[in-house]
Amino acid sequence: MRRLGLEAAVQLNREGLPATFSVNDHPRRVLQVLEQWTETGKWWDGEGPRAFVRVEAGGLFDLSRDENGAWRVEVAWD
Amino acid sequence: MARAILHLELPGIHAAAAVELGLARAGEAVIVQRDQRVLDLAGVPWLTRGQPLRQAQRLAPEATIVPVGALSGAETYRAVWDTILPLGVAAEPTAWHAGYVDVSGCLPRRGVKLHLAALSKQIEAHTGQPPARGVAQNKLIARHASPLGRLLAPDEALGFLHGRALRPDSTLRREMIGTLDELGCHRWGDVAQVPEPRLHALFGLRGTLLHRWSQGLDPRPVRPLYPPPSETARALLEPEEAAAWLERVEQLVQTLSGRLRRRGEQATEVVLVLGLRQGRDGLRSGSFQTFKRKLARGIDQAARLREVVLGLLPMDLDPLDLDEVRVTLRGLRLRGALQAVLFVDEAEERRHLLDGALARIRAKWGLNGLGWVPEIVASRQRLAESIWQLEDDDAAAWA
Repeated sequence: MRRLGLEAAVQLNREGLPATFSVNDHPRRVLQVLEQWTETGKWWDGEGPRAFVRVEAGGLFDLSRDENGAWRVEVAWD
Repeated sequence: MARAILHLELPGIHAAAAVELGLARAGEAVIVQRDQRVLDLAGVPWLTRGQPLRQAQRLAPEATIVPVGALSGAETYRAVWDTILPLGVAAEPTAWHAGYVDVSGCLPRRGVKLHLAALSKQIEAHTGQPPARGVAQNKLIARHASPLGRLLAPDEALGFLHGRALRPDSTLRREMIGTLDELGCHRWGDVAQVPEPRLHALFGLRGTLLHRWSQGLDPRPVRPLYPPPSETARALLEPEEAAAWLERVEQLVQTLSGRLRRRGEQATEVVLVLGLRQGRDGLRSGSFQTFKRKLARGIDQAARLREVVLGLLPMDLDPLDLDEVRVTLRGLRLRGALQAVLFVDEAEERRHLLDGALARIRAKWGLNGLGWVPEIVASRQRLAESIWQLEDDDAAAWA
């Protein structure tokens, strides 16, 4: 497992879930969305909740989206 | 080894913090509000959490109302969670008044109920109210178990969940519950009877997940997510002390700096809370102003801390209005650990570099050099006035 915490450009499908995402100009197509959940984030710092999605995209990744719609790749499950 | 997750709700924790800070009296009715709703309460058993504030005020007009924002830096929060942390391998407070603890392999083989009852007593000693607690194999079931105080073995957890009514939360939206209600599904057991393709057709991926939850499958881990430590010092000012408030600030700064240096720690955020004198019956009003500053580099020197605290003071401050000064240091860490943290966190490192740049500018051009740095927009007015003052002084000196 690697903690990445990198900003990602994400394109969404009709359901509002990631269809493709790219990190460091390296695009990946999402084959399957496996899990979805919400985490509180650093509430003591005034950070809002983050929505998490676990996807299969030539590897297993956890993506997260903040309240402003900005995406991050949090974890790569190698 | 089966997972065991403890979910805790801590009623009374905010009310206890209000008493600690002198915003309410112990044993009397107090309501802590957030967003015009009741967040926490004590001494008013006929009210409920989540109730609209106006309604609560009508039903308990004598209760003291305290906004939750005024409670920052209260020691009660840390004291309660420091009691809870050693219970398991990871603790995830989702707010100060609720959270999860992964207690897999940490509960005694016998006497679990006694073990948890002892914990409840320790918490009650701080909050004045017993906590709600539930243990189950995952977060979803543990959260349903806690209001009932249940301790569920893996083989009874699913049966328990199926008897519980659907209620909205971050995983189950209100409109989904409405749709399920129309289908005659009122409990998790009803949802478990619906075939997965049907739920998928109704709600998409969320439907698939709903089906998994209804089967008692919730793989969400308990993430160790504990706020970094903080340190607070506060001083209450009597009306006749108004003139001496700067001395009290100096005392607070010295106290905090002493505590940090004794432990070899540094702070990376300074929060200044000013309480304003408008209270009734000897209680303060809960009217507070909060000022924060994040620092690129940790500090532990009293002189630097004083500089930051004074920099946070508003221009229009009237010392006669001041009733309380509270200084909280956040983001504490060991001096030796600083370097490692800087290079793990990119944003932190940027702030560190910026601070270095600021220090160089300051060394070369003094205060005038800082006027151009966009990072200090918030204090621009104060800075500008300081610069004009300097210029005037220079002009006077030349004259």
